[in-house]
Formats: sequence, structure tokens, C-alpha cells
Amino acid sequence: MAEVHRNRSHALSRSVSRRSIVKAAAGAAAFSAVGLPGKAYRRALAQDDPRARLLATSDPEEAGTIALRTQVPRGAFQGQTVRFQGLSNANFHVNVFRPLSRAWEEHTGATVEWIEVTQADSYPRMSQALASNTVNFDILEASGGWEGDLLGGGHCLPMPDAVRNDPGYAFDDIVPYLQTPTRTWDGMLYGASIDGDMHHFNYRKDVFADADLAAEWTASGGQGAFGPPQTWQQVQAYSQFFAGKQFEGQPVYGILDSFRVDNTSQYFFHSRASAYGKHPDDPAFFFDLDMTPRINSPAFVRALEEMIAGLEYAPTDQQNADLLQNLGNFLAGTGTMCHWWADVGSNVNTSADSLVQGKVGYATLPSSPDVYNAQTKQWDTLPQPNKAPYLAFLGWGLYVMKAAEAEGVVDASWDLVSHLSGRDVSAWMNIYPSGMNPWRESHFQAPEWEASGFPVAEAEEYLASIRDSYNHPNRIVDLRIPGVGQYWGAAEAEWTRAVGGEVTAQEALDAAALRWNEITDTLGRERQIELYRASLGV
Amino acid sequence: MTDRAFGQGSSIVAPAARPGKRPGMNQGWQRRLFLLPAVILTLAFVIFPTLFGLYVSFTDWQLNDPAGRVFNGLDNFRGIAGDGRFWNALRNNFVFVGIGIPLQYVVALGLALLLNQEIRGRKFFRVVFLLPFMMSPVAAGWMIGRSLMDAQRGPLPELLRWLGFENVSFFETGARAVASLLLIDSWYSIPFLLVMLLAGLQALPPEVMEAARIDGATGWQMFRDMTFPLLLPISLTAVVLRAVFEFKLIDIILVVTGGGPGNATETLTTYIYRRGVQNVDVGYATAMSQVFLLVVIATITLILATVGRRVREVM
Repeated sequence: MAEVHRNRSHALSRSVSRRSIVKAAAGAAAFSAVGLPGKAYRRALAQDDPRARLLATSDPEEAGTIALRTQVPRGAFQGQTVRFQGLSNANFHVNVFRPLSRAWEEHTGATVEWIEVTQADSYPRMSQALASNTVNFDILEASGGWEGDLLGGGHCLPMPDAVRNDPGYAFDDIVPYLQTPTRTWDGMLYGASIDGDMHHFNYRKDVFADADLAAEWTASGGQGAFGPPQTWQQVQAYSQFFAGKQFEGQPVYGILDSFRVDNTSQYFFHSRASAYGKHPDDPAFFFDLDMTPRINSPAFVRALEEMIAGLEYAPTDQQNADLLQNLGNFLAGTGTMCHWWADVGSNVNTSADSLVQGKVGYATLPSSPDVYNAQTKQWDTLPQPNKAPYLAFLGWGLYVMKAAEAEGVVDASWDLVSHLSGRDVSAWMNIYPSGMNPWRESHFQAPEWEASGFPVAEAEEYLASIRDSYNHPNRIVDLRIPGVGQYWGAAEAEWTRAVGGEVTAQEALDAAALRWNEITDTLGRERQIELYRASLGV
Repeated sequence: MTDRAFGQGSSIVAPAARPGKRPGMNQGWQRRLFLLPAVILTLAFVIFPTLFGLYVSFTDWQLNDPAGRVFNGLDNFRGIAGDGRFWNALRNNFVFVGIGIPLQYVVALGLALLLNQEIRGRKFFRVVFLLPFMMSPVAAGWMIGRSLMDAQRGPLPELLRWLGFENVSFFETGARAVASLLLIDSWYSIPFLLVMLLAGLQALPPEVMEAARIDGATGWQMFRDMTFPLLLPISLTAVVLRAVFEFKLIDIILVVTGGGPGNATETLTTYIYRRGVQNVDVGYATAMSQVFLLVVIATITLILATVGRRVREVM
């Protein structure tokens, strides 16, 4: 999802000034004090290396100029207007694309008309446009999870070979799961990735290294040595243990879950159920292969019951928390554990509001000693705890719509997509605040992250947890069939009733399963089965 | 102007009837022609959407369903009858109307009586009391519910903690969240009632009030027997309008609690929005809208029939 913290609405500008000042001061101080050129020297070296020069600037407009990649001569699209519908989220996404595209507009003579939508509105706005045949945008920023509606409905244009084979676009540099199946349909490549997604686990290293808390843990009969949790069961135990305790004079809390009905809490619930419900011998997670919902299986019920039980130990008002509140709270030092997209890690070091720099560790999602086997209807205890990283949301991609043909802006649209998703500019978007997370192999070079203030060792740990999630053999690739937004919305509306105490977890999830069946029937069960099986590669 | 001058100098003269045609026929067509724009506009913007909405409520229309709108009879309405979330939302609607409006009315009436007095800074206070209503409800919701009352960093919980209260949260349980939303909504909505009631107070005939005062009526007697009864017609109008607005409450709820915890603060409008707009389940959401419309009409009719009759009796 590559979300960004609401309190970072000014982070870009703030970080620009702060970072610029710090860099300038550090360089000057180093030069005058010991005669060494410091970072200024490194910047001088960067003059010879465009990528290093690009990553040395925090100014998006300058970055767009340095990274300008276009295959057309100056003025080639003079007078054309490309309509781009994208996310306006906490001042990122479109707000970063806009300055990054100025150099492209200047070079090509085209104008970009930016159509901004909120996160909650992005799926409905797309669905309404597709259903009513009123697609009034040429490029759409959309989740890989919506491709069933978008690509399955035949609304997009395939990526031209000229873009696909462009060395600057570097298709082979893209992480495998975003080469295929994501961004493709029926073997044809459509979308250009601009983001990669998964939920991983962020925890407070300083809290889990505290000797006093460790002693209390042992004294209270805590299982095993005090340290970062490896399993969801340990997460639950630590959350209970931390309740009412203090660390450095502040209350310390356990896991931060998301419960607000806003079509995004569903991802956090899936993370909680990941290790319980994704069996290594079974490719499916959300449905059986005949589209029988698993949302009311013992695995999901256990996850929901634990989430609800954890509320007793959570910060006040946690039952109303949404994803951005959790991010903000974790960065502000509330909560010791947080499962989220990779933005937490980048925000730890780039957000002006972060109080936890250098205090956060990163890992793949916790595992579980036992996993529910949907075939045998039994819990299996495996030789090793079961781990199932969840590739939640499948990253934002850019899709050129068929509407661009009628407007005569197909070439201009692909040229802009190519510019915004190129190898180098995407590295800049990952490292500086933009709402994008690593999605190319070249994004995993830890030393490059130092430019944003990430210590290399920490960046290595952070990037390793992302890469391990992407490549894990038991990973859960998010649902990618038509109606995904409806499935998520319907389930979320039901299971949050259990959070409110109206019904039990099992009753809530039984109701969710009923709704999922209704949606499947409405959209056509046979077609959904076919697409679901195809999305799992079976 | 003489009849002659009018008849000869004006072009508005009925033309001589053509042979074979009755004299009134052209006039009849003319009248119909003049009505035509209004008829077309009414058909296009009132009748058609109403009928189309009615039709959609009998379909299983989901925006991304390749089959489009398929007639499904009474399925949506059967679904609504067994939909706990619908009834929970409707109950919340009645809580907001049944508790919120009397509360708002009492406070607004008190303030209106105060601001109708000759007090210092009266004009200033009139403007100040109106300010909340001039704000966007989204901004009001954010400012009060998400900032001032935020459990982690809001100044109000901070103050209460400083006073010795523990685990202060205004939205932790369903009942508490509904009560907090009622307060925020009241803060935003009272100025509307205040303006209406103040206008009513200022329209009261001063000579009648003066006569009562000369006859020795106390302040309470004047309020009970004169001011309040004379205000009843405008009170009824204001309350009915507020009830309609209150039934449609969505913005403050979406901003502050999003309908939570769970679905505890969800109203029908928020549920319809989520189901129809966010989850693109248009058929079911439209069916809920139709039921909701009937509920609102029935409630308002009931208010007018009962309170309205009482007002007419008093007057």
C-alpha cells in the first residue's frame, strides 16, 4: 500500500530543509575542522554518476530533471494533455509525481492534468468509471489487487515493447512477483509497477533489550528469553505483559492493530491470520479452490479472537484506530510492535515527527507453531514454525487506459509512465518520502539508503525483511480477482461487529462468509473460480 | 390605457380563428407549451430518478458485475429485514434524532432567550454562537473529535488525566462514542436552531409582551404562557428541519469514529454510503435508501401530526 503518515504532510518540505541544512553543516564542519571534504566530497563525486547525483538531492523537481527519461525528441507531444488519476494521500503519491514530472512536461510539451482521489475513494471511483463507461483519465494509479476489475474487464492497454525492452525501464530489475502474475493478465503485461507491498513486522529494539523488563518478564513466568517475538503467540503474550508497565517514564504497549471500518483494516486482520491459515502445502488462503470462503475457518477465527483480546492491553481508543493512526502512534513511541507496510521503516528515519530513530528492528511477519489445514480440517504442528509473509495490496501500479486512444495520447501516456517508473527515479521515490516501497532488485542496495538518514546496518535489516517477504515460498499473494474491494469491505463490516461486542468472532466471520458467497454468486461463481485458480497458478 | 388603445396598439391580440378550428384550441396548446419546460425538468430530475431508484432497488446491481443490473425481486428487501447492521444503524438514527434534537432545542432556546436580552456585546455573541454552523462539518468533526478529544494527544483527555482520571477515552465503548458524537453534532447544529428561534423571538409583538408585563406577569409566567406558545410554530419548523438533517448525518461520524467502535456509531446514511459507494453494491444500497426515505417520511409525518396538532390547538 505504501502508505504515509498523516503527520508527514509537511515532511517532504521539512525534510528538505532539515536535511539540506544538516548536510551543508556537516560538510562545512568536517571540511573546516579536519580538512576532510566529508559529504560535500561525496556529492562532488556524484557529479560523475547520475544515479548518485539523483539520490543526493531531496528536491523532487530536481530529481525529475536528473532522472528524465524520454524516448522522444523535445516538443514531441506539444499541446497534448495527459489525464492522470492518482492518490492524493498525506501529500504524497500525486503530490510527488507532479514535481517529478515537470521536466518531462517541459521536454515533451505535453501537460499533465492531475486528478486526485483519496485512498478510500480510489477503488470506488475506478469501479464507477469502468461500470458507467466514463473513464475520464488516461493513466490510472491502481493497486495490483484491482487488476481483476481493471485488466479482466479489458479497460487497459498492454505495455508496448518499446517500454518493456527499454534498458532505462529495466524490466528484469523488477522483483519477480511484480513481473508476473501482478501487472499481467492472460500472459500479457499491462501495468508498470511504481511500488511494492507486503506487511512486515516492526518492533522496538530498545524495549526488547531492556534489562529491567527482561527481569520482570522472567519473574512473571514469561516463556523463553525476553526478546523480539518470533510467533504471533509471543506477540500476544508480550502485549499482555507490557500492559500497565512503563519504559523510560512512558506507558509501554504491545501490538498496534487496526480496527476502523475503512476498507484498510482488513489487511491487518489478514496479517494476523497469515501464519495460522496459510499452509505450506496449500496455495490457497482466502478461499478454497471452488471459492468456498475460508474467512470463517478456525485460522481466521483464532486471529480475530486474539486481536480482540489484545484490545484489553492496547492503548486507549485502539478500537477506533486506523492504519495512519497506528503509524503515527508507533513513530511517536506508543506501541512496541506494529505490522505494517514498509513505510514504517522509511518513516522512522525520514519523518520529522519520528521519535524512534535507531530504535526499531524489522522482521518478516511472525510465525506460528501450528497451522490450520483446510484440507484435513485439523491444526498441523510443523517441524518449524509456520511463516507466511503477506504481500498485502500488491503495490501501486500505473495503467494506461483505453480512453487514452480516443484522446490520442497513448504515446505520451506511456512515455510519462516510463519516466515515473524508471529504474533510477523509482530509487529516489523509495529513499525519499513519496509513499512508495522497494519493488526493484536495485532498490535493495543498503548504502544508497544512507542518503535519507538510514544507517546502513539498519537499512540492511529493513531491506532484508522486505526481500524475504517477497521471496518466501509460503508467501500469500494478495487476492487479485474481480470484486476484491467488495470482498474486503464486506468482511471488514462484519468482523468489526465482533470488535464492538455485538457478536462473537465466529458469528461475525460466518456472516462475512455468507457475504463473500453472495458477492461470488453475483459476479459469477464459475468465472471467479477460474480467475482465482489462475491467480494462484493452479 | 383605453380599451381601444390596448386593442389596436398591442400585439397581444387573439388572432382570428382559422376556419374549421375551434377558437380555444390554440390557446390550449400555448398553455401546454409554456408548461412543457417545467414538465420536462420535473420528469428528468424528479420523476425519472425516483422511478429509476425504485427500479434499481429491485436489482442486484453491483458496479463491477459484468451482467449489470439483474432484477432480483424482493431479495434486497428480504436481506434488509434480516440485516442486523441495518437495524443497528436505524436505531442510531433514532438516538440522534430522539435525544439529539430535544437537547439541541433546549440549549438553543436558552441561548436565544439570552441573546434576545439587552446585554452588553449582544451582537458579538450572536456572531460567535453562529461560528460553528459556518464551519464545514468535516472540519468541525476533525477539530473536536479527532483533535480536541483524541485519547492519545488531545488536550481534553490530557486535562482529565491531569485531574486524576485514568484511561480517558470518549470513543472507547459504543455508548460513550454515541454520546460524544451527540455532543459534537450538537455543538455544530445548535446555532441553526438558535438563529431560527432568535428570529422568532424578535418577531413576537412587543405590545403584547408589554401589556403582560404591565398586568404584572412574572418572567416565568410570560415565558410559559406567551413566549413559548408564540414560538411554537417556528419551533416546529426548526425541529422538523433539524430532524431531516439529523437523519442524514454522515460527515461528522465518518470523520470522528468511522462508524466505530465496530459498527456502534454507524447511521443509515453511513451504511448506505459504505455499501453503495465504497463497496459498489448499488442495488442493495438503493433499496436501503428507499426504506430509509419511507422511515423519514413516516417520522416527519408523525411529528407534524402530533406536535403540529398541539401547536394549532395552542394557537
